[in-house]
Amino acid sequence: MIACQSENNVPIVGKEMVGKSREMHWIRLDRYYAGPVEDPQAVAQPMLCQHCEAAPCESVCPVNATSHDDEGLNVMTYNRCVGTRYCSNNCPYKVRRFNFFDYNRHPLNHQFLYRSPLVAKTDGEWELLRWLKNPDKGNLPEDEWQLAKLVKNPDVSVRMRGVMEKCSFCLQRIEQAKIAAKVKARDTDHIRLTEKEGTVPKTACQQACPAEAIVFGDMADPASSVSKAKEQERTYKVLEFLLTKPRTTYLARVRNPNPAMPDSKEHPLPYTSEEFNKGPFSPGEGAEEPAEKGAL
Amino acid sequence: MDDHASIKVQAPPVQLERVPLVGNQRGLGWLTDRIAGVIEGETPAWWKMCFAISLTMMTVCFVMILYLMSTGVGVWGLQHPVMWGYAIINFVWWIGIGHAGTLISAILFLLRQKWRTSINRAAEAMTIFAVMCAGIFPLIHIGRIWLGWWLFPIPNSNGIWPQFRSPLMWDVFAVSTYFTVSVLFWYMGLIPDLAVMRDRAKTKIRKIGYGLFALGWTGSNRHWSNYEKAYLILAGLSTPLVLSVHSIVSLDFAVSQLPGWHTTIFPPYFVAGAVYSGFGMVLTLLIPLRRMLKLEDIITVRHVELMCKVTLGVGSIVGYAYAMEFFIAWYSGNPYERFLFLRNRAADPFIIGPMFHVAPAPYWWAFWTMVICNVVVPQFFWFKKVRTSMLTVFALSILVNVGMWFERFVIVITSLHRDFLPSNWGFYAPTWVDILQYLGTFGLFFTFFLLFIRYIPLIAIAEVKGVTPQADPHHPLGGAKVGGQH
Repeated sequence: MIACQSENNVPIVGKEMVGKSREMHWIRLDRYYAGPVEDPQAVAQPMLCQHCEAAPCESVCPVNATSHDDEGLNVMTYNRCVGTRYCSNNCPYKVRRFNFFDYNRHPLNHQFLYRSPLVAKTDGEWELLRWLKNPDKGNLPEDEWQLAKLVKNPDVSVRMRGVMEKCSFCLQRIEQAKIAAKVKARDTDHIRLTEKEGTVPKTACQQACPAEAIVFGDMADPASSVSKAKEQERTYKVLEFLLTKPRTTYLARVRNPNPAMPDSKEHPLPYTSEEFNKGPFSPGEGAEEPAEKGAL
Repeated sequence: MDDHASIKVQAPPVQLERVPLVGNQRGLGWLTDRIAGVIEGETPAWWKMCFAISLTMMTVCFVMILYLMSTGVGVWGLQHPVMWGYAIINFVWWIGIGHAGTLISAILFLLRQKWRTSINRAAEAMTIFAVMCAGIFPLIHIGRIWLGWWLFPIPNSNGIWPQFRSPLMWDVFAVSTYFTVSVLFWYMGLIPDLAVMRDRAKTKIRKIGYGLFALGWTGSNRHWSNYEKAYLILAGLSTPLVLSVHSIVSLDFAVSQLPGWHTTIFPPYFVAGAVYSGFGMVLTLLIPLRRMLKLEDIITVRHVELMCKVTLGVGSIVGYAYAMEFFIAWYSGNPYERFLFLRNRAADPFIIGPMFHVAPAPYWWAFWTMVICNVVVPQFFWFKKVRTSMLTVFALSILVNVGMWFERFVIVITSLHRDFLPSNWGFYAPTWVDILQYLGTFGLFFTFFLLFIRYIPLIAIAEVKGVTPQADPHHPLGGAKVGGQH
């Protein structure tokens, strides 16, 4: 999460906003529990934009701000976004995050976020005038502005308020790799990124994950590790029945506890989908399949 | 051939025995004097007071918009995953209210319902002002308000058209068409009455003002003939719009995949709900007005009763739609939809929740307010005693609109706050900005409505004259009989 945050200029929103579920993280860790409340078995599932083939977010945006690119990525065009937030409502995974305030142009203090620049002053200057003079700086005090400029990743656009954002699969890294490959290829047409040659980039989360639980790569290349992971029979898609055709797939968790260990005991399995459907009005709370490995 | 023997004197048709649409055998002159008198008389004290309050609230509305625009959508209570809140609820609510006017003026006109003449002008005005209030919300609810025009198919620097698959796009067209046609229809009907005001004017300003908008109306046969043709055409054009606007609004929800929104029943259900709330609002407005402006002989108890009957009819359709939503949630076997209807909506802490052994829904009170106001309340209109008691009808009509507001609250909030994956569940509570913004639109609405009753004939003078018994020589009370004059 932190790797993603620093790579993608994800704004830090402060305690007040996190309390209102307005955090901006592009990737979150969902937890699911099985077994008794006193001694539950917990599994974590990283949840991020699933880059659906039939993405529900795309068809509802009136201004074409979210769309497919030719590589199958679901991309956000921040410039086009007017912020109807319909995409978030229609996303079954709810992985889109909205810039409720100008987080990058305000000191992260509850009062500053809520006060109107029409009536406030920063550094003794009317905020509206300040903003007109330099819209990028906004209402950050001079010293914070100098610092803020250095903090950001220059390859990723900084989003303003009223704009939706979400995981891009570190699009900027893919683009950099493609440019590098094109430079190297010169007149030949050998521009395809391949894992064998090590030209496929890693996403920030993949790079930071010590358990190597996240795999990213070229689905069209049958030799890539992501294609191989997808061939395993443990592979599944979250909310597959909605036919969103997500490109992100998961591998079901395998547990192999040692029965010889002194604290070893039988743990109940999570619900199967049959059990899950049998009980009337039973879905939702803690009944999802556990999951681990993310893969593209 | 001698046919005279076969001629029989027939009893007058039943409809002539009904209570006349204008009470106390009021004559044509009285009608003009009374309706024009509302404008020509002195400004009543209650009007001034109401206007001052409305104007203040309207100012609040615009101050809130300014605060929102300058600061960010975060000043509202929206939070992940509830990305639509008061703004969308209020939008749907106001646009629903805006349905009665066109229904009364267009559909009832085509169905030859003569009773519409006393109420159509005010109802149409209500429609226009309600659509104006509604229209504010979709614009201000977006994150970058200053770019709202990108939703219109206007060439812009991005070089792309809007996306026509999005229901929000359809909304833009549906609502703007509806507003345009409603205004045209309303203005068309006003022309003969504006000419009346012009001819009665005692001051120069009035003469010029009304004269300008009366478009040189002289009341000649040719004028009337053209007018009636145009009115019929506009009625025909408006009729499908009554059905289309709220159908499209409902598609904002129905097109998505969210449980509770993704339902094919939505378009007819929304239209019924809209007409229901629209009639509720017409009753809320006209019952005090007929009293305060002494129009009881024009907007009679019979009119109120008939409106109550329409409310009962569409209210029952709404109740049926609620029941059908629950049935389909159960019958479809979709666990998410079942979950939503029971655990997000219906499960109260007292009866339904314990019955199914589930925790109470976070918004159970909103759901049950809606059911009581929209399913139980209209059923009172079966009783003539209720329908003829103005105070009761007034109270119930307010409950109708409370119920319809909660219906939209239930649809928007309870569906969004807990959907597929439990880890993204949340809660929604409005902030003071949300609430003042909502109250502010009442200021906007009533400011316009009060100006309307003060400066524009609030009843269609020419049309009401056409349905008096005096206008029909075959009526037992009609023609130049005793009492028919004034």
